[in-house]
Amino acid sequence: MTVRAKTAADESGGAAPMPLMVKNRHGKIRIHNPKYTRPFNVFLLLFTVLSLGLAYIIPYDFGRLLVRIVNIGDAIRPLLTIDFSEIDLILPFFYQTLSVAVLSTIYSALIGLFFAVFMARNITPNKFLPPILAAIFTFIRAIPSFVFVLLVLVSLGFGSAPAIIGVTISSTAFFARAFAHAFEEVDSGTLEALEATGANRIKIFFSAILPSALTMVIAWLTVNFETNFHGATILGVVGAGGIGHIIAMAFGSNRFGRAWVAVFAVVLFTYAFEISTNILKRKLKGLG
Amino acid sequence: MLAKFFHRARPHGSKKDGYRAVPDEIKKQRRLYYIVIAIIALAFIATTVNTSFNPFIIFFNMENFIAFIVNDMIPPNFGRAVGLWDSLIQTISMAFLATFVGGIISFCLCFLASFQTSPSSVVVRLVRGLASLQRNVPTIIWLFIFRMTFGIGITIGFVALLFNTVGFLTRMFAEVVDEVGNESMEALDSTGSAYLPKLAQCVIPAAIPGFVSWLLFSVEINIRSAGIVGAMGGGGIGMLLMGHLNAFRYRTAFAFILVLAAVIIIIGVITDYLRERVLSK
Repeated sequence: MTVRAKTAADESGGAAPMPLMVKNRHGKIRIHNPKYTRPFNVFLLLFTVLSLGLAYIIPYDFGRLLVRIVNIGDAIRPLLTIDFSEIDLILPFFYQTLSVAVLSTIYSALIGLFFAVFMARNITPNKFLPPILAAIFTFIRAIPSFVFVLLVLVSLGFGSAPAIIGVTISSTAFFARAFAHAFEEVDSGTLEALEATGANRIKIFFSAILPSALTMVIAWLTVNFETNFHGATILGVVGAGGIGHIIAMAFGSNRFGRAWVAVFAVVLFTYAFEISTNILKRKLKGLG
Repeated sequence: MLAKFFHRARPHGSKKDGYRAVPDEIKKQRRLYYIVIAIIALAFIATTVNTSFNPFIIFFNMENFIAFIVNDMIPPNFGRAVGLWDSLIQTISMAFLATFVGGIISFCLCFLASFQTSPSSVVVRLVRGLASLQRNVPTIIWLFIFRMTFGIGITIGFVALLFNTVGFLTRMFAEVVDEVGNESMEALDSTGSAYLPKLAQCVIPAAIPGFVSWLLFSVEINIRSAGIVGAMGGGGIGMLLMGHLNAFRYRTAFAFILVLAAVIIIIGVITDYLRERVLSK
């Protein structure tokens, strides 16, 4: 028991370490440090009150949900079909979604890399740029990507282009912030040493900052590709084509067999991608 | 430029002298990076051919786009944004309740999904597999499946969010438990402590900061996805925004976009601040 008391005392700042054995009012050894646990208890209480309080004033219809769950057999029976006959129709749509995800990730990574140079506080040419860019990108990141797609759709017409541009806009904001953080973590001693040798900014960036941030850059690429892929599946539902279109249409017209094939394609790809990036990360870690 | 990095720092000397200029490990690492870059380049070419996407299309259409924004979107029309605040509270509530209920479920599941505390490794694999499925299927697909069985509305949006939240939080909570459990669990084992007191007295108190940090992160994720889920039929502000966009009422839609973005930013800032406080403890 004393093990726990020790850690709590150590982590509470260590200014006034807690004696190892403090008896509480029941005469037992006290094993919690109230100074340490109170903020968490307060937070959890507030969180509970906020969630349940908001839930109370909103007309959730859990009664109907429960009734439906009881009769879930009837609801699910028509869903239990699978129909591979139209897979040659589905695959091109899947390929389109995949293309949107790939292209938007690549373009946004390049644009994000460019902005990250001005956004990282240790290499920016002007100290007013980082906060301004950060504000702009925070705003863009807060808007769901389908909104951008629908707005670009108005001036570009249907097709893959608005989907790619829309997803690129919101994922550029993500990349710029992530890359800027990665650049800021580069050891300042290295930069000073290079500056001392008279290397200019561009040389420093390509020979010190980019190489040391490369592992992080690849990690963010894989993370954001997944986000963009999920984002691209949603786009079909709002009318920008791709696999989401097939899923929405098939569910809408009760051809569930078809919908499942499309869903399987999405899930299978996500799994395959996750496994292969895990292998890649392990290899990079093992070598680095 | 990247190639330059890969070839820098090669000292003078030849292989004949038995001097290996580049260690094998770095060679392997370079080869791996080359493979990654090659795959990215191939994917880029293949997908560009497939979609025949020309990035310069943006510059040709820039005028069009700016004219559209200036004429049709600005200024935002708050007067016609009926139900803005009600739907906003619905969306916030959806995100909070999904995180809250998901947190409770994940709190129960994570002890089964952690190698430190689980009764058997089969259970760990099972729970982690389920969590992974919940995480990897896009929220939107859960939404469609539930929509088929339960109909449209915020209740469905909540359930769809809940599924992804449980998948995410179970995994992250389990990792927190894995990290904190090891040595202190052993110490308690040696005192002959039973399973539940061990969890209650040792694992949970040590894991609370980690749990709270991930809970905050989940609130931020959920408030973002609540907007998207809403637009697909999950109710709340997303649904109204989608309606206005589809009806070409861009000024009204812009009001919704601004409010949604403001809320997401504010909640993001608050959770970031609290997370920093928690992690610095």
